Amino acid sequence: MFMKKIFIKVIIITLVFISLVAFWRAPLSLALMNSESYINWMDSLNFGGEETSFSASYKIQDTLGEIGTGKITSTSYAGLIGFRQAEADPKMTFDISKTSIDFGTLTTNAVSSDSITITTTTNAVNGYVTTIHEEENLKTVGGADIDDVADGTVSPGAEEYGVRTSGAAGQMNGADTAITISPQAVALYSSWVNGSTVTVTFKAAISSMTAAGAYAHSVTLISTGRF
Amino acid sequence: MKNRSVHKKIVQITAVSMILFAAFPLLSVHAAAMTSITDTLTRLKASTAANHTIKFVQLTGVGAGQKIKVTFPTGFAMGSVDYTDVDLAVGDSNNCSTASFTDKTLAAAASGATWGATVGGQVLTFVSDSDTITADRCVLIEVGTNATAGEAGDQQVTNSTAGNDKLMTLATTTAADAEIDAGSLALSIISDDQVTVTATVNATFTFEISSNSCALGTLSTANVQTCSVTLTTSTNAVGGYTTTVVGTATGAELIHSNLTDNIDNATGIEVNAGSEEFGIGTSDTGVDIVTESDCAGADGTIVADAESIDTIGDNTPASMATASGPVSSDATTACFAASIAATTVAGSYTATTTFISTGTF
Repeated sequence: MFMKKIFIKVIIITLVFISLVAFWRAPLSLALMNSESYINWMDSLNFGGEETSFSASYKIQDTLGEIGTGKITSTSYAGLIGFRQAEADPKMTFDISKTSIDFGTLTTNAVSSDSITITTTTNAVNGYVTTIHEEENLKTVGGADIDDVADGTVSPGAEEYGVRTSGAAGQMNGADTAITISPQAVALYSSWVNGSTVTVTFKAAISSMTAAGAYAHSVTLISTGRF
Repeated sequence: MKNRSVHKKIVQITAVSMILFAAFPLLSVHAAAMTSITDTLTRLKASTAANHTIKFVQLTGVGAGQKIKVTFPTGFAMGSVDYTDVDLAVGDSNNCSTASFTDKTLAAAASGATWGATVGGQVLTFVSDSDTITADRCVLIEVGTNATAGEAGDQQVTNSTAGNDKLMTLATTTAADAEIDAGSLALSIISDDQVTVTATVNATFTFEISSNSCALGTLSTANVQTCSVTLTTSTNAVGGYTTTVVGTATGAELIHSNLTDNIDNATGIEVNAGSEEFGIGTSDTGVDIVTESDCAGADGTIVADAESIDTIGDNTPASMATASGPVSSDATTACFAASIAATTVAGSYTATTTFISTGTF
């Protein structure tokens, strides 16, 4: 009699466990966990699987250990149950901290500078690249321009203009670099990343020969996920 | 006894089920996943027209009669984009960064080796008739004015309102629209993707005359006497500067101390020994005053290149130094030259000239 009760309890506990796993995987697998240093785009409890099964005629990505997977929908909701169904949708956010840089009045005895920060978050498997380009040089309405920096450093007393980056993903960290019409990578990261921030510092200096006037131009920043 | 048997069977079935579940788990088979998927836009600004450069590696290949579909994110306006505004090209490898791409021929409808390209709703569809794409190659799709193969594109897709995670999906399909390979990417559309950079450079101008006196010495009939001053201008005026010279009045400039007699102004562009002439030359060129390139060398010779300060007439200022853009310490030599005739009245002569330098900002 005692053994009988034990058996019944074991069966009930097993069935309850299976039911819980089957019916509660969906919300668990869609949970998004993050902290200041990482994002877990989705979590899934299972015990195996592969991405690399293939032959000349097929490729299989398989997951082991999930119950009750699939896509369910109604007029008011949709559920993607299980790891394969809930594979995270592509994510991409991009932000520019400000959209104006005003050097004020340039002088021959100092380098004027100002910075922006650009921030990208993406779950793209190959990360992202952000480029910078201009339509035309920093110039006056009359056409006088401030020369692009060519020696890697914007120096006082020399007519030079360019940008330098800082941050792990910065691509112009080592030298002041001319902005060109052709897009150049200003930030690059090779994996998914949460809040990859790069500071872009704009620098300008003039010589006594730099034409007087009001200078302006626009630079365009494009961030592209590499999925 | 019977119950014990039932219980035993239930336990056995449960155990077997769990073992089978562990040994033969559920398999989920997907369409092959595309790789190296990117869409590079020319603008990320909300509600702004942009070109798209889409790349991806398809693993299975695209056979005759099959399709490639690009579904743009919700809210993107396809406008009047048609087959003339898109390009389809296939790389010679699966490396989208280094592959060399060859364009396919496109038309409104597929025929033979020509692919059909159509836009319906958010979906751009390429349909093959007989042409194929080799498996495991990078595919390049350009949409907008960057589509230059065949007819040049003149229409662009307009971005949606600002927002993150704008989903674009890609697929190769059978003729019956069954997915073969699939992939997706996300775009971030922002309120403004441009940084406006501004700066001001204040105007500068300096002008200097090396000396306010210039002594010609004792004039003789045998040669020309000269003296000079240096006029130096620095300015960042975008149009440069002009320096002019003007005398005190019309008529002779070099006046006797008796205020009655004078030495005549030069009548040509030379001051010659033995003739009563006074004039000015400049080291600059392209100005009103004649060029005297070596004022010191002309001193004591029988001729110097110089002309009347009032060369224009009516005591109008005449240009003698100029530059067309910003200059630093731009120096010009103003060369005064005089000679006398045997009848020139003895005495002390003086001329006062004024130099004005003006920037063109």
